Amino acid sequence: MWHKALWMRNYKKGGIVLALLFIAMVVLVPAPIMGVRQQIEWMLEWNSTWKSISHQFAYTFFVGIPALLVIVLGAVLIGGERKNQGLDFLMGMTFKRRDIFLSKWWFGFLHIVLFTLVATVILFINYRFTNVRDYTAFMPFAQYLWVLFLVLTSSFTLSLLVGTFTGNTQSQVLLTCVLAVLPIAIYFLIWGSPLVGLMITGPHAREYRLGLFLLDISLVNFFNVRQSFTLAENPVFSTTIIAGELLSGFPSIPFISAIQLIYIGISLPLGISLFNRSANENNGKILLYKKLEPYYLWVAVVLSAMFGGTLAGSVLLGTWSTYFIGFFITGIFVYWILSRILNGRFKNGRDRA
Amino acid sequence: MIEVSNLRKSIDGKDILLDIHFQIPKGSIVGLLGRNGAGKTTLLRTLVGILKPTAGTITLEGVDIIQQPEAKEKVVYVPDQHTFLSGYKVKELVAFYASIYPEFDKEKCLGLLELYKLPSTSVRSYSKGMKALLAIILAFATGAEYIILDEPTSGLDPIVKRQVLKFILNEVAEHGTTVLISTHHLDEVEKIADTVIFLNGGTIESITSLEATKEQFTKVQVAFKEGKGFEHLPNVKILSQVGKVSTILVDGDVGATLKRLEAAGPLFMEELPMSLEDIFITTLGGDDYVA
Repeated sequence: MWHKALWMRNYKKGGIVLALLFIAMVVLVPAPIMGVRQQIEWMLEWNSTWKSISHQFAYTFFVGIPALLVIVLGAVLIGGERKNQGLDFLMGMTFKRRDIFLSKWWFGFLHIVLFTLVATVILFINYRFTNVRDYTAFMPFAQYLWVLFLVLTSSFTLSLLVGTFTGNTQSQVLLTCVLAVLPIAIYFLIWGSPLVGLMITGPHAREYRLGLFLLDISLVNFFNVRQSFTLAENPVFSTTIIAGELLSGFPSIPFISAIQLIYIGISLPLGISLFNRSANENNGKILLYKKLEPYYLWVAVVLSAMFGGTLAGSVLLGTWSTYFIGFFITGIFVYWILSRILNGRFKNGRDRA
Repeated sequence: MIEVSNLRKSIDGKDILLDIHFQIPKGSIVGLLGRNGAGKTTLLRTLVGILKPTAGTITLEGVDIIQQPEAKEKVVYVPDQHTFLSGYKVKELVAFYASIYPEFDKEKCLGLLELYKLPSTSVRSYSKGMKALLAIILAFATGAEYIILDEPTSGLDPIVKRQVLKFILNEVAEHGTTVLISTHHLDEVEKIADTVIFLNGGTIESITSLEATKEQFTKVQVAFKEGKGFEHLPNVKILSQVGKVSTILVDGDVGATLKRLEAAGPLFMEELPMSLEDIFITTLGGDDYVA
């Protein structure tokens, strides 16, 4: 996995995405501290008597964009290599499949570590040498960087896992994104459908708790954490206020860490195992394993049909009939499209015995 | 020696290769022939571990290359498409190969690139033929003992094609490199191979030395006044027929068959020089051979 040639190949293939990731990490990740500075300056200028105020920022762009880039990096390293026969080339050489996969994982992981460290240094300099440090602790930023690091690692690992059963870049990115939103998407589709709404009677506490849990375990949720913490003015008014105390009702850092580690802990060994069996004869197809196609087809059709039903229900004042019309029209349409796409290959795919 | 035993490969439930057995001795040039869809590319890709066999083993000097891919240090596979090379500059490729194959001869590689006038630019600017030539040069510069070539001369002009074939022959003669070559260009196989493997419907139809193959068959042009004097002979296959003149291929028992044809009183009968293409068409052509 540490063979020079494998790393040369990874750099050759993933270099551009890596450069974009570096720029995104350097520019975007330290950005939230600018918001804090602005808020402090505003408060000092307009309201000098404030004791404390909570500051909130969402991770959406700061974590979401690098996360999308690491998903693309994973897709370039596996899906892109399937498309241009790079994997064929490496597998025809002296390398073990396990080592090829692990070289890609370490390649992505070490760059995530490196870029996170660079972003941390930039963010810390902005903290240490500005007035931000007078009003808050560094802890909220450290937690933000920790979540960022975990989310990027789990997103990248999940993308590599998906690359072991998809045949090209596009399907790898698409299916990784689907998996990232799947738990919460299922929740919204069920919760949002008038059919289920009518079936639920009495208090909805159990369904609500289930919904929160599904939201909490969805990878996409971590792209969009909102972090609130106190800004304390020192020392006159803030003797009982802890600067940097988290006020957010979002999942705790240990919970986030546990979920991310579970994602990584499942995706990595499963990815190694599946990559070892990689059916390279189907490189270029949407899925590498023909046996998976019916499951993929029907899951996609049912979810799309539910989405279609929900959409029709919400647009046309949610009745049973409109829900079912949307459900069946979308389901049939998606089935028709997908069953044709699944039989085809993207450009450059091999189709020979 | 590469040894393939009981090799079977199924793709999506369809058997592509069935119970393949053969050995490739060191220092030989083996031609792999078969019609489109016979499983040639699948066989080559399975031989080097790109595809996992459904059953069977592939060993190199007794080492299973699927279990121990490190043994493939002695084997280089050159595919028929070279999209992989396109993102590189030539010197990057040389560095890449040198990092994998400890015996890689950089000077030999650069010398050959110069000899064949391949510029040290980005491979993206290369024509299809130049890419094919580059891939072959890189493969032979690795110092590997076994080179597996899939349609190596596809896209090359006749002059470069001749140079490549000559180059392969020289390498085999000088270094004892073993070459397995899959191609549709039967004239190439005829020029350089000493053994021919005929693959048909996923199974090995025959493995013979080229000389023995040619001795087994004789091509004859014959004309009879009425009917065909060879209809009752089971070892005679028609290559073509124009009017009363038939061109036939005699498969085995050549002397006795020719005597029986003469005894049938032909208007004329003449032995013709035979090509591998004649054998290919009659052996693998099924009912579709050109008559």
